[in-house]
Amino acid sequence: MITAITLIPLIAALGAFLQPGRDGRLARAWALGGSLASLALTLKLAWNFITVGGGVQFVERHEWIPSLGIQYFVGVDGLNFLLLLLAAIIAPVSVLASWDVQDKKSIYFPLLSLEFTGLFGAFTALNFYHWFLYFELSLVPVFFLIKFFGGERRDEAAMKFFLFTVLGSVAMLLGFQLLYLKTGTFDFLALAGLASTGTLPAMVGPLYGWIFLAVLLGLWVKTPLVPFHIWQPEAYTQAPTAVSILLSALLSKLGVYGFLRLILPIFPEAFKAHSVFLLTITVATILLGAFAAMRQNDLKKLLTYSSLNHVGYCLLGICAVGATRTGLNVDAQTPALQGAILQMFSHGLTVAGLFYLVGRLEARTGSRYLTDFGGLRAVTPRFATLFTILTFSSIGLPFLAGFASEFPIFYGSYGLAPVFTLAAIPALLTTAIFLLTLLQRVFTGPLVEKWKSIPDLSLVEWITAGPLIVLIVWVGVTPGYWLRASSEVVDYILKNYR
Amino acid sequence: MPDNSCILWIAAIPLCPLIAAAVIALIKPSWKRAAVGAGLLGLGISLVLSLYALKLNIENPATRFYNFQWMQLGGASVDFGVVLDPLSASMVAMVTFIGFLIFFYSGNYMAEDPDQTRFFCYLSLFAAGMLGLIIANSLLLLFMCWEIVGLASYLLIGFWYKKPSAAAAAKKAFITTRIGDLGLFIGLLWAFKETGTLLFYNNGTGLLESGVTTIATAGEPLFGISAAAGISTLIFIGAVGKSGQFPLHVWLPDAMEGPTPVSALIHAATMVAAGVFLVARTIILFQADTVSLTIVAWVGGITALFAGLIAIGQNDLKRILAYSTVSQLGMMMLGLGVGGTAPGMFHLLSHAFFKALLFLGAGSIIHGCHGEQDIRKLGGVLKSMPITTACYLCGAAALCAFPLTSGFFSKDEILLCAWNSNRPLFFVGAAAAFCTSFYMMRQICYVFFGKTRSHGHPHESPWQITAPLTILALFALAFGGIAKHFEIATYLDSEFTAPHHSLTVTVVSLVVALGGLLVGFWVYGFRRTLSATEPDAMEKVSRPAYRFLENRGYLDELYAATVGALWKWLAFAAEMVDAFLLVFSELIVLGVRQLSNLFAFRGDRLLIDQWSFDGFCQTLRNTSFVTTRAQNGYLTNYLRFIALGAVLLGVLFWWSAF
Repeated sequence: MITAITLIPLIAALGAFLQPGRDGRLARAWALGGSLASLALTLKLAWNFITVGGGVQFVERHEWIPSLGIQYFVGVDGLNFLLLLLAAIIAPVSVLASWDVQDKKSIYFPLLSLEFTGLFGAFTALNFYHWFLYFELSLVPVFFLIKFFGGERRDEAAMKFFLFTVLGSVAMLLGFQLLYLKTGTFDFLALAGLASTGTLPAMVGPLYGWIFLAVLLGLWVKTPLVPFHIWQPEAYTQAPTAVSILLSALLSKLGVYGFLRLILPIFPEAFKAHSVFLLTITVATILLGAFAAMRQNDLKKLLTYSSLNHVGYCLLGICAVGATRTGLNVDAQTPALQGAILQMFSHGLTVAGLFYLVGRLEARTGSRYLTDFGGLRAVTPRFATLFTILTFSSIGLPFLAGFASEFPIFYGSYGLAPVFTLAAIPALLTTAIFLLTLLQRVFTGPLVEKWKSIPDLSLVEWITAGPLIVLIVWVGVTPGYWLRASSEVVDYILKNYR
Repeated sequence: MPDNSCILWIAAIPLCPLIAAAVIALIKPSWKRAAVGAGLLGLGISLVLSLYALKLNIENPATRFYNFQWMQLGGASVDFGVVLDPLSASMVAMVTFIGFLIFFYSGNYMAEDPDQTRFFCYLSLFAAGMLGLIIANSLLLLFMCWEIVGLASYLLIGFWYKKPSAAAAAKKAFITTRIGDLGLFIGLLWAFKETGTLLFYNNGTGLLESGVTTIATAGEPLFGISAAAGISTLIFIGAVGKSGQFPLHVWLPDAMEGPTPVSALIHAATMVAAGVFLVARTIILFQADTVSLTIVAWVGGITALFAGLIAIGQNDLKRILAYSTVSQLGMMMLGLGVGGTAPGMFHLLSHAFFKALLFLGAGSIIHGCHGEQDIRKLGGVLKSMPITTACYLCGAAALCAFPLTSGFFSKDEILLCAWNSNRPLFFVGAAAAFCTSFYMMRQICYVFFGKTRSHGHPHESPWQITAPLTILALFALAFGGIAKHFEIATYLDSEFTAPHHSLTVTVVSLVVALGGLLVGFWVYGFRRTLSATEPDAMEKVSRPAYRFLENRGYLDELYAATVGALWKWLAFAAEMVDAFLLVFSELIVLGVRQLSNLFAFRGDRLLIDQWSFDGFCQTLRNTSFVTTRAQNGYLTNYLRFIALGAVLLGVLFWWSAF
């Protein structure tokens, strides 16, 4: 089933690319059809997913290159369940976000579909080898999409994006190859098993620390954390809307997911040893993102820094677990990790919605600069309402998704690393400042004359943004329901940290 | 143990307005009457339920609750719950009652606004949040509803979004209160960490039951602050933000940018009192380490006096009332600090009636005077709007603690407690009370007496507006006396023991209340203010002092120069760090570009193409040129090679023979 979810977008990509006529009229239909089919299958999978006591489910395991210990091994557990679901939800959103792309459709939509394959694959693979293939595959379409369809500085943005992430990936690849040489397996679960018995450091010997750093570097760039986030603002800003959505909602989660799947289970000792350093980096990321966002005039750039800040909260929860000392509240570890997992989901929903609406605003006005707008509420009240809801979810208003995931994170990290948590708190205020300023500048005040005839939400826009809002409220009101899936796997990971 | 499950129905009290809000959000914006109807219906049902709950609770003033799980986080269960006790029963009854009157009033007051539907949606959302906050049996649920009322307040202050000042005021309100909210949030996390529960009451294991003991005995003070003092002070910081206490009160006067019914409901009677309610709810935590209780009392006292003074220098009808609200909220905090739940909450309830009345009266005046709200331009309202004037004067009398009105009884209680436990604060409170009487008399003289100083003809408001005024006026006059008669203090706090009655206190409170009125009348009552530009009487007394008050103590400017500047500087610093990194990354990209150019041009084209590949061909060609020269077809040449070869062979043989 997972294979089907992964491969359907690939087929759609081929279909969109090879369709007759070549004018690309059917390309978007192919892409949408593919993403919806994957979504339908994912929903079926979610329906059958056993939240408690299920372990790794929907496993497909085949020998691939036996001599190198490489298997085709995919499966879903509490760690990637919400991410797979998120990817399946965001995929059609990103297709709909590109609904009015006009030129080179027969290139654009196949690339977009190919990206879905990469993401579905990367979220479900459980063997390093083909996880890495997907991980890298997900870079390629983004690179070309930015390069061909991006804004003015697309060449630089694409180049920087590619360079940074590839450098990180190469480090990670080398790290895992060393690990393979020493242990003879590429299997995440097997490696985690070795780590939990404490034999892994002994097997690897003096290179253990270096391997950890190499893997860390790959995720550091991907997530990203300061100072390697520097590829991010331009990539997010120059990318077409759909790609901004994918980058912020899904690709950044690939990095956080890596922390949960690779770092925590496989390198517990090294992670504990470096947790204070990582927490410092995380808090710096949170604060830098929030404060830098205050200065932005470009809406997309503002959202990029805001996203940097919000993804930082995930890592605050994760890294706090490493900082656990005896005497501190061990019970707080579970909320910290579960919150981080839910935060990936809720941030994905929120930021996708925000980037989408900013994209629609740009499509209407040709601008995304705060200073160009004013009083839009008067002509687009519904648009303003949806934007406001998403903004408040981002600010962390209770009963919306942002709070539901940030509360467990902060509860957990406050119990484990109180000083770092308190240091991150000013960011919560700053987030409110720049997001409310955004609302004030764009929607209130006297209406700017030239926008007096822009249309309110269209049907397509309702269909795209509506489900996101529904999910955000759903997660916000009943987070317990969404947290249940991750409780078991979190216990499994935390075995090494008690 | 009382049967708790039977009170689950009180959860319907906040849910009815919530449903109403959802319905209004979905109907067409032009269906104004339907929106008003839905809002009134939703809150009306809540009102009936609340009065029933109050009746039940008065008959049996026990604490009853119903809890359920919200989420499970590892070993910890995060629970929600609802609670019915004297505190929540009296508050829901007050909020739904005043809320209903204000909804009714708004149906007429906002009828000409094209966005009345949206207005009722927000109002209903506010009512839901506020009622949820009151009946919450969990600090977390209370906090969440607390944020929802903050959102509603933000939306309603910025309701007239086309006015830049309204949008700015909304943002300011949200951000200023959020500073307090973050304090509350940290306090909540800390309390959860210490006790493992956020429920107030849970059969002896709640935060306000055994949790208090856990917190009080918790070792390991953080930076020398005990857990009890730390948690309660952090909770109080939340209350400071929401209830407009000094130094976070600056948002409340600006919040008057919202429509007047909003000012009456949210920024006078209910939401701003939520902070007082929060302290009252968790007062047992404050009592665990009395340091925080002293902080509460002093912050309250300072706020009461400071805001009372500033109100003297204001000229906007609503802003005077806003500072008056800040001052009265300070009095409530003072009451909580010196006397526990009973005096603070009693003043909260009585204040809600007369302050809502004053705001609604102000709205009626503004409505009747065509939107004018500068008291210097009003005047002579007495003649044109007699009903409004009568009601307004009732409210003003109650606010000034005129004998036998509501305010007299509730303020007297606070001053009496202060007299018995903290003498200096008693005098601060008395001074604040004097200011109150003084600025109210100033306002009355400006607004009601003399002749109108603006254009247009003021007119009395319709019955939909005067009817709520009249009802509230009755409550403003009678509520305090009745409540006192039925011993509300012991109902609100069963352990409350009335302090000894002191003649001094009664005399002092009478003197300040009446003295303020008399001095005010002496200063403002005898002069004929003829033009709106005439300087204020107080301005003649001391110009710098008046300027100081008129400019609200320059606090906004001070904050902009300190915290605001710091935040801007931090943002600038963050951007600079980023810019530095950006340059660095550009250099890397440039380096990689150069490197790849090097490979592409030097390496690929020069080294491989030209040197090795082309060079190889050239070498080959050259070599072949050399070798082909040998085979030039001349016989003599070949013979020469053959001879050379033979000689070489001969030499080799000769060499090998040795």
